[in-house]
This record gives sequence, structure tokens and C-alpha cells, in this order.
Amino acid sequence: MTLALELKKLRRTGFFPIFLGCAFFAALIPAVNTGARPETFTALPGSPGSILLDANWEIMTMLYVLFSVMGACVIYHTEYSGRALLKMASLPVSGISMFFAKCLLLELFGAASILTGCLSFLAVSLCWFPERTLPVKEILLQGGFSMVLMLPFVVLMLLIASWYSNMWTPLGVGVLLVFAETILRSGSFALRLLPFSLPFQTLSALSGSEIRICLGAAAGELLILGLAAWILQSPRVRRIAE
Amino acid sequence: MSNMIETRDLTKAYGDFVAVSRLNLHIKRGSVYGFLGPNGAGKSTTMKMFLGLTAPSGGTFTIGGKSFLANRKELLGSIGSLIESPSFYGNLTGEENLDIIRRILGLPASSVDQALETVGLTEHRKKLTKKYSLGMKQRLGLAEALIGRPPLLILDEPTNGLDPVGIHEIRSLIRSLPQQYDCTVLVSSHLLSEIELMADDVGILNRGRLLFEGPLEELRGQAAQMGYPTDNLEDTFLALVDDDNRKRGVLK
Repeated sequence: MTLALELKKLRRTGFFPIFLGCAFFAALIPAVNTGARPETFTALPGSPGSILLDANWEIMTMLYVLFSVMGACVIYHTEYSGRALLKMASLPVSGISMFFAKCLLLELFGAASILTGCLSFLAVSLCWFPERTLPVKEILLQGGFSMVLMLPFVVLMLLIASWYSNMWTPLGVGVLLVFAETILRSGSFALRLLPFSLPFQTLSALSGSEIRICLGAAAGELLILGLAAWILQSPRVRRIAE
Repeated sequence: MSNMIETRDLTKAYGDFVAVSRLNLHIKRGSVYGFLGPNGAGKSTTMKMFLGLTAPSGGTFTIGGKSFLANRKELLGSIGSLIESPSFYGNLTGEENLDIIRRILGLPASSVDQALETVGLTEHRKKLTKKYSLGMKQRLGLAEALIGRPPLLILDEPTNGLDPVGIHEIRSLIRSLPQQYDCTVLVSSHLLSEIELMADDVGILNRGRLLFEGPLEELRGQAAQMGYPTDNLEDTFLALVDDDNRKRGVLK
């Protein structure tokens, strides 16, 4: 029920167009990129999945992450703008369950955008690589991997957004974190395990042990951030902060 | 008559500033209790403590004989509230806002219509609340408090922003609530003239301290004994507050 309520709260906020836009633009990237210079890609040997993922996944992930930052900000702006959060605090509803329902919602919409991107890859493969095997498994595995690696970032972003009544603060912090990733990318592997760097990892660029480390890091971060959220969203802590 | 709310030495301090000091309130079940005090007296802070929106620094309180901390969820389900100013989702219509509260409280769908009708917002049910006038927002805040007919209503300056006709309507509504819905109403205001028309008992708060608690007749009697003006209760209230301020050295 909490999830349905959270979904209802987001009517007419721009949240749904944000993710529609995200899915649309992300899906457009491989099509436009391949359509503009098909010979660059079709001449390459190997699976069309690897070719397309290597060429497009990074910029697509940048979109997913940036739109998730916007989504998180919109979710809490809706709560703060009419002081609705105060009303919710005076009702028999748990702030913690509200927070995790928002996390699930943001993750689901992000996952739907990723899935649309995956479908776009398959369509591009069919169109420009008709003679090669359709890389369904490879693309869906990457999509699933990214959905899992997005989770800690989603929780982190909502945690930041939940603490600022002014939407521009979490938006600025989120954008800074995403762009920090571009700087940290060239650093050590450990830096690429931070919540805002994890979603950029691709299966084709990682060894088996690195994939396990990424998934382990996501699980660990999720546990830590979940615990932090559980503490920070409790009425007692929020009251002290206010 | 048993008390719906009882406080014992309830205190709230923000650093060195004491917003509410050793408050002992006794709010009778089925009554309208007027909580009166100038701006900054601690009325809203006290009401926020009753809703768990701010934690007391000292003392205790019970609602319906139950401790708030041990029965938070149960008690919040039985309190309708309007604190400081109406809270709502501006992107939703009045009806949708009430529907969210209805679902949280587990009420039937008809309770939304009833609440809208009670506050006279049925006509504007489909309008986005961000487009509501101040008075309409206040009415929506009241509807949010009244939905499901809770046994306790906590209303912080509920007539703020209403026109004279609206003020009269809401006053009459509040006055009729204990009989109509069998509930207890705690209503705050900084105007005694307003409280006078609604309340059975009053509590007068100044700078966090309770100066008087009891029926209005008792206030008149006490004021006469102390040499305060009694012709007009507004003057009585002002004299009481001024005298308290003088004693504390706030006014010369």
C-alpha cells in the first residue's frame, strides 16, 4: 500500500515525464550513434552486444544516473513544498517505510529506463547486425547488473534529498557526485566501487572476480546506507535534527 | 469527566530558551479546550509535542490515559490535527490529498466526501490545492484533521486566513464537534474573543508558563479578585499577560 501511495503522491510532479524522457533519450543513443556511422561499428569483429555496449553504455548510464538524481529531488520536493511531510509525520505511517517505498519506486523507474535501453540495443542489433546472433543474454545480463549496481546510488540520493527542504541543494550535490565519478574513473579500482561510480561498470570490462567484488560492494553499501536511512529517518532522529 | 489529555511538568527547551515550562494541563474528554496565548507563548510547541513532532525536554503527558511513546501509532491514528498552517501536496487535488490520508488511516472511501462536505469544499474537490486560496487551504487542513471523525482534534489557530463568514462557520463547526462527533477539541488562538465563543475551558499560556486554566467564568472571577478588567475578556487576557511580563521583568 505504501508503494501505491508514494506513486499517487507523484502525480503531476514531472517525475513520470522525467523517466519517460530518460528512457527515450537513453534508447535513442545507440540508434543515433550507430545510424550516424554504421560502418564504424559493423566493421568491428565480435558480438554486436559488446560492440554496442562499449560504444554507448557509459553515456547511457550517465543519463540514468542524472535522471535518478532529478527523480530523487522531485520526490522529496513534493514532500517539502506544501509541508506535506509534516502532515505525514502526524499520521500513523512509518517514515522509514515511506523512505524505502520511495527507494523502490525510484529504482523501479530507473530499471524500466535501463530495460528500455536494453530493448533499444536489441533493435539496433537486429537492424545493423542482421547476420550476427542477437545478443539477448549479454545485453539483459548487463541491464540486470546495472540495475543492481544502481541500488546503493538510489538510496544514497534519496537519503541526501530527504534532508534538504530546498530541492536545489540535493540536486547540486547529486550532479557533483556524478561528475566526480568522471574524475575518479581513472583512479584505482576501489574508487570505482563508490555508490555513484558503481552503476558505470560494465560486465565486458570486468573479470569474474571484479564482478563479484562489484556485487559485494553494492550489497555492503546497500546494507550500510539502509542502516543509515533506518536511523536517520526515525522520528526521534528527525525531531532532534529539527 | 475524565481527562483526554493530561500533562505533568511538560517542558520543552531549545538550548537556553525555554519554550514550554513545567506545563500541567487537564483537558476534559468531550470538551472544547481553548489554548490561548500571545504569539511565541508555546502553544504550537505544546501541540507539536502531543503529536510527536517535537520531543519534550522534560515532564510527561498522556492522551486518553496512554503514554504517547509507548502507543505512538495507535494514538496518531486517533488524533486529527492542523498545526501552524495546512500541510498538503500542492500537486494533488483536495480530494486526492484527503484520499491519501484516508488510505493511511484505513477509512472507507465515503469519509473523503464527508470531510469535504463538512468544511464546504465539495465544489472545489477536483481543483489542485496549490491553486486554492488561503481560506480554502485552511478548510482543507481542517478536512484533513476531521476525516474519519477522530476522538481528539488538535487545531492550531484554525481560523487563520479565513474571511469573517468562514471564521463564523468554522467556529460554529468546532463548537458543535463534541456533540456531533463525540470528540475532544484542543484549539489554540491568540484571540480570547475567538476562544470565548468556542471553548468550555481555557488555558492561558505566556512565555511557556500556564497562567490560568479553567472555565471562562472562573477566569472572570479570578480576574475580578485580582483587580483586572472584567467587562471585556480580551482586556482581562491582556492584563493577565502584561502583569506576568512585568513580574518577569520583560515589560516596565
